[in-house]
Amino acid sequence: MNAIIEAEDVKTRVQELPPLPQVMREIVEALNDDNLSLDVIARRIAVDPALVAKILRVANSAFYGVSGSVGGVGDAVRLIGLRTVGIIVSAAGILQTIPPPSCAAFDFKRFWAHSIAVAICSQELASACGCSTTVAFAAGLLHDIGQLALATHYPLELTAATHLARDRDCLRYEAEKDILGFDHGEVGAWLAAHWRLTDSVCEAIRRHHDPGGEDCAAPATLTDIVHAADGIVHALDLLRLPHEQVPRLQLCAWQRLPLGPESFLRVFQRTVHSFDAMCRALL
Amino acid sequence: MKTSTSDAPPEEAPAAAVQGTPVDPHKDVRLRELFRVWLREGHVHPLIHLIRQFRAQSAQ
Repeated sequence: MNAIIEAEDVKTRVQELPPLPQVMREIVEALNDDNLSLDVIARRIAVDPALVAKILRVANSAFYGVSGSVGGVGDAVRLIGLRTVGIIVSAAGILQTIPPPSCAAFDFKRFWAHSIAVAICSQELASACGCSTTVAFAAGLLHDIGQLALATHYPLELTAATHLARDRDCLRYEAEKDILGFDHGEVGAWLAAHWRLTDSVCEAIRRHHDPGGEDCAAPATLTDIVHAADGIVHALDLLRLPHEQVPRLQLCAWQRLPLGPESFLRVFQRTVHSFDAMCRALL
Repeated sequence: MKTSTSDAPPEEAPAAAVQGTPVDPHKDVRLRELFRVWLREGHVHPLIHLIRQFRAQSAQ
């Protein structure tokens, strides 16, 4: 099937999207700075009333067992932890930039749940690899952001790709390439570059289905980590989707991860537990 | 969708039984659904063995 839209048109539309909100950029940068205190992060959050409301609502949810007693954003940040704060801030920032799409083939809640799971798993793998856990978490959280952009601006094409994937029982990114001429990884990387995310994060988003690299003994890259985390999360069947399937994983990328079987099993366990807790708190 | 056992690489089906871990047939069916592209294409990768081991441990 011939591509029905031009890559340059998509790139242009992505580059017309607003930048990430300033408050989100500041908070994400603060979350990546190990030397900043929780109070500093809380003060940056406090300038955005909508964010404060969201964080207080989560802190006062039944999950944390202190319903109604958390009134300050500082206490809320300490209670729910930086990882959860990062997810809330990211979700709010992305939704300010890209409104929830009305696309039959796109379920925002499911998209976000999968993104959270891959973020958690990427963080666990990065920790086991001795890589930056905060960068891995961000890359995992944003790895499918191209799907959101496509659902917003090209809902008919994304729906056609989803139907094609079901009809052929093939992987969706392959159907996207057939319908569009490129996949959501490419679109996500354009968006990440537009948002001025780091080159390694852009690359991880672009190539999370095809990390490449022929040196299996080289150090693991961020792309390898997100690629493996995406496959692991699909294989763990956390969302129990009826048409779920595990995307192919490249053996060489997997071998670059310096983990043995027991370490992988621990990563699986920690991912399942953290994901369950995060969903009960946030979704 | 192909889910028959003939799609599986030779080493796939008996692995859990050989290790002496209990096998839940429903979960096994689900694994074949999840990995159907891999099984159809004969894609060999350690993840499928690790996930089977993890699911067997979780079921105990």
